[in-house]
Amino acid sequence: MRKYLLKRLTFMVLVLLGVSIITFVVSHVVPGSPAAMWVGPKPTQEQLDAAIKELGLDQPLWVQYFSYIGNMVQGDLGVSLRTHQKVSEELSRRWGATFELVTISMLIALVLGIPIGILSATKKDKPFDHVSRGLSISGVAMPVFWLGMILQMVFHGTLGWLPLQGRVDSTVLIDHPIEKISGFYLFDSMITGNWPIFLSTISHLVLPAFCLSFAALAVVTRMSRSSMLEVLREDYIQTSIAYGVSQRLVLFRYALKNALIPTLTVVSISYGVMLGGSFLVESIFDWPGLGRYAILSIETNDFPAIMGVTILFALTFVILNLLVDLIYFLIDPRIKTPGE
Amino acid sequence: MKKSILMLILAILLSLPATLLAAGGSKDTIVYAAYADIKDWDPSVAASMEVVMLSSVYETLTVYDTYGAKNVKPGLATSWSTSDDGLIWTFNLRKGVKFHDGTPFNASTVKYSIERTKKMKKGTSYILGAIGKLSVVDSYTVQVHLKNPAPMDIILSSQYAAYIFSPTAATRGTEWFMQGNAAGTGPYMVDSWEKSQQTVLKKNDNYWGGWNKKHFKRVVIKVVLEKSTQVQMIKSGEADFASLAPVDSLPALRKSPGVEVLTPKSWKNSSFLINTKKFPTNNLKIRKALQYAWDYSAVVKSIYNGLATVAEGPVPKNIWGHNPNLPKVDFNLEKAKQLIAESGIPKSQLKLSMAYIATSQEYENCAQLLQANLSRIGVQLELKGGPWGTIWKNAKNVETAPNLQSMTWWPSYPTPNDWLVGLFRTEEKAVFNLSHYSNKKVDALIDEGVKMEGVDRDASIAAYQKAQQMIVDDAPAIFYADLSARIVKRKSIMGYKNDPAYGIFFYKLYRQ
Repeated sequence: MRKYLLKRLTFMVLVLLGVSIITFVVSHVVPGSPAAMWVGPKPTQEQLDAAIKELGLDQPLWVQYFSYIGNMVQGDLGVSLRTHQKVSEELSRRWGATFELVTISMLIALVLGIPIGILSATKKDKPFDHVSRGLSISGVAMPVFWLGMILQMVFHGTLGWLPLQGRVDSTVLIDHPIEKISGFYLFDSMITGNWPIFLSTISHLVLPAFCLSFAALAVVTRMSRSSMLEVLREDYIQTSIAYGVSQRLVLFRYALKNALIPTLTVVSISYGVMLGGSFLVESIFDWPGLGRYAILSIETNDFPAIMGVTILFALTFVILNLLVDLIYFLIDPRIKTPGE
Repeated sequence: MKKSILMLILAILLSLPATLLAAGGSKDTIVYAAYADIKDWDPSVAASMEVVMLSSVYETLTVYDTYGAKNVKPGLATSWSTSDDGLIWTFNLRKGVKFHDGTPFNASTVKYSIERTKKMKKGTSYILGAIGKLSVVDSYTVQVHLKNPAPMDIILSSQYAAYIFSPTAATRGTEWFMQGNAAGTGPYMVDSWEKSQQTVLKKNDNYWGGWNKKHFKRVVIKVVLEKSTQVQMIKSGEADFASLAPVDSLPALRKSPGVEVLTPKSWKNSSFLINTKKFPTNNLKIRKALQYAWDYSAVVKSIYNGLATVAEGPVPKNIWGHNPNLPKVDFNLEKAKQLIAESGIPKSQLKLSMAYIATSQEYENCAQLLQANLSRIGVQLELKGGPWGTIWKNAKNVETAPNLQSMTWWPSYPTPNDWLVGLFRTEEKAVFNLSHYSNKKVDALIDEGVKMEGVDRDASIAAYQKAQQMIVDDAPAIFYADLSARIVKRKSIMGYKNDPAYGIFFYKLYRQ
C-alpha cells in the first residue's frame, strides 16, 4: 500500500510539472502584449519598457519558467496582470466559492441521482423509468449556459423567487459582515450563527447549484440505474429474493454497495466535469469563484493567473482521482492493490 | 422529525422573497453595477474604471467645469494665479479640511501627493511632466514651479493622477492601498471591499461640503460582469446605474418603466489611422480617396446605432479648442475613384490592409463596409482583426504595420492637445502615432498651443485650430465618429448630469 501511494504521488508531481510546462509555454507563446495590459490603457514608451523589465519579459522563456517554478515552490504565484492582485491570494479567496458551489451541486446530484437510479432500476420500463430517462437525456443534452439563463428568467424574472446573481446579498453582507473561516459561506455563517448570511447564501446557491448539477445528475442516475440492474441479476441477489428477504434489505444492504462502485467512478469524473462547468455557471451567475476567474484570465491572456488557476485545477483533479481510488478499497475489499 | 425539516424548508422558501426585496437601492443607498472590480486602489497609479470610486473618495485642487463659463472651478484650492511667464502657479488652499484618517489637509500634503504620483511614473502621471518642483509657501499656499509652461489649473483637475491624499496613509505604500484602503478628503470613505463582489462607500461625516437629508449615506459599487444580468438588475431596480447595457438592449430599456437611458456626448472618438509611411498610403491622394470611400452616415446610424455623431477632424466637437471650420468629407465613391486615378498608382498595386480590435463588433462592421465599398472601385482591402496587444505591436513598426489601424482615443486631462500630441505629433519611436505621421509645422503649432494653454488660452486655441486644419489636409486618418456615452439609470435618481471630464459624483445624486 505504501509503495502504491508513493508511486501515485510521484506520478502526481510529474503530471503537475507537465501541466505547468504546457500552460506556461502556451500562455507565453500566444501573441499579445502582457506589458501593455500591465501598465493600463494609455502608457508611454518609458512605462512600457519599465513593465517589460518588471515582469521579466526580457529574459529567455526557460529562465522565466524556472524563476516561476522557483517562486511557486515558495508559494508566490506572481501578480495578476489584469487585477494587479496576488494570484495566490485570489485563488485562496475564490477557492471557497467554487468548491462550495461544486460540492453542493455534487450533493444534489448524489442525493437525487442515486435514489432515482435505483427506483428506475426496480421499476424498469414503467412510467417512472421513462420520465427519469427523459430527464437524464435532457440533462446531458442541454447546454449549461442556456439552462442557466432560462432559470434566471423564470425564477428571478417571472416568479421573483430567487436572486439573479452573486454569492450573497449586498445589503445583507454590509449589515452582517461574514467572518471568513473556511471560505464556505454556508459553513462559516452556520458556526458563527450569522443566520441572515446563511439564508442569503442558500437562496443564492439554489439556481447555480441546480444548473451545475443537472448534467451530473443525469449521469449519476443512469449509472446507478444500469449498475443496479446488473447487480440485481446476480445469483446471490436472486437467491436472497427467492429466500424471501425483504426487498428493502436486498436493495440497500446487498445490492447498493456493489452497484455503487461504477457510480463512484462517474462521480469522480463528474466532479472534474463540474469544475469545468463552473466556468460557465459562474460567469452566468456572477459567482466570484475560480471558474469566472479562469475565464476572465484567459480572455485577457493574464498568464500568471492562467498558470495559477490551471495548476490548482490540475492538483484538485489528481487528488480527487487518488481519493476515489482509495475509496474503492474501502467499499470493496476484493479490489487489491497491485503488488499485494 | 420529518415535519420539522419540512417546516424549516418552508420557512427558508418563505424568507426568500424578503431577502430579495432588500437587494435594491433604498432611500439611503445607491447601487452602481460596475463591469469590473476596482483594480488599482493607489490614487497615484489608477488609470481605468477606478474613477467610479476615486472621484467620490478623493478630491483634486481644481474641478473641471464642463458646462460652466470658465474652464475650471475651485476644489481643494479656493483660488489660484499664475506668473506672467506661466511657469509658477500659486494655489490657495481650503482651510479646515481633513483626510479620512484624520490628517489635516494643507500645503505640505499637496506637495507630497503630487510629487509622489510624479515620482512613481505609473498610470497617467505623465500629465505632471511639466512640473519641476512644488514649494510650500505657508500652511495654505502651495506653489508649483514648471520646467515649461503648462495649464496647471486644468491638469490638476484631472480625474487621474491629480488626487490629493493623506501622506500618513500613503507612506504605507501601494500594498496598503491594494488591500482596499483609501484616505482622501472626498464626501465618501471606503467602508468595505469584498473582492470581486462589491465596494461599499459610506458618508464622510466631516466632509467640508456638508450634508443634507437628500444625500445618499451609502454607495454600493457592485461587480456585475454579465451584460444580461445588468439589464435585469436595472429593470428590477436592484441597480440604480448599469454600466454595461449592450446597445441592442437600449430600445427595450427605454420602454421599461422606471428606467432612463441617456446618450450624452463623450470625449471619446474613433478613427482609422492611415499609415503615411507605408505604400501605397504614403500617397496623399490614396489617403484622401480612402476618406471619400468611407460611408460616414451609414456607419454612425447603422453600425453605431446612433450612439455617435460624424467626427470633424481629430479633436471631438464638444471639447474646447475644436476647430469648427474644417472642410467636410462626404461619402463619394466617384471622387475616390478620381483621386486614385490622379495618384498614378496602378490598380494592380492597390492592395491595402486594415487592422482592428476583433472583439469590437463596431470596428469589424466598419471594416467590412469599407472593404465592400473599396471593392466597388477596384481596391482590395485585407482585414486583420486581432487582440489589441498584437495589432498594436505590429502597428508600431512600419515594416509590420497595416495601412489602416483602428484607434479610439480620449484625453488624460481635459485638453485638445491630447489627440494632437498623442496621435499626430512626430514620434521617433511610434507609441500611439500609428499613422507614423510627421509634419514639422504641425509639431511646432502643437508645441506652441501647449505652451500657451496656461498663459493665453485664446492664442493656444488658435494654434491648435491651425494644427487641426493642417492635419486634416494631410489626411493621416479617417475621422469618423465622436462617440456618445451610454448611461442607463433608474428614473428615480435625480441630480445626475453627465460629465465627460469625470465618472460619476455620487454626492450630487439623490432619490426622489
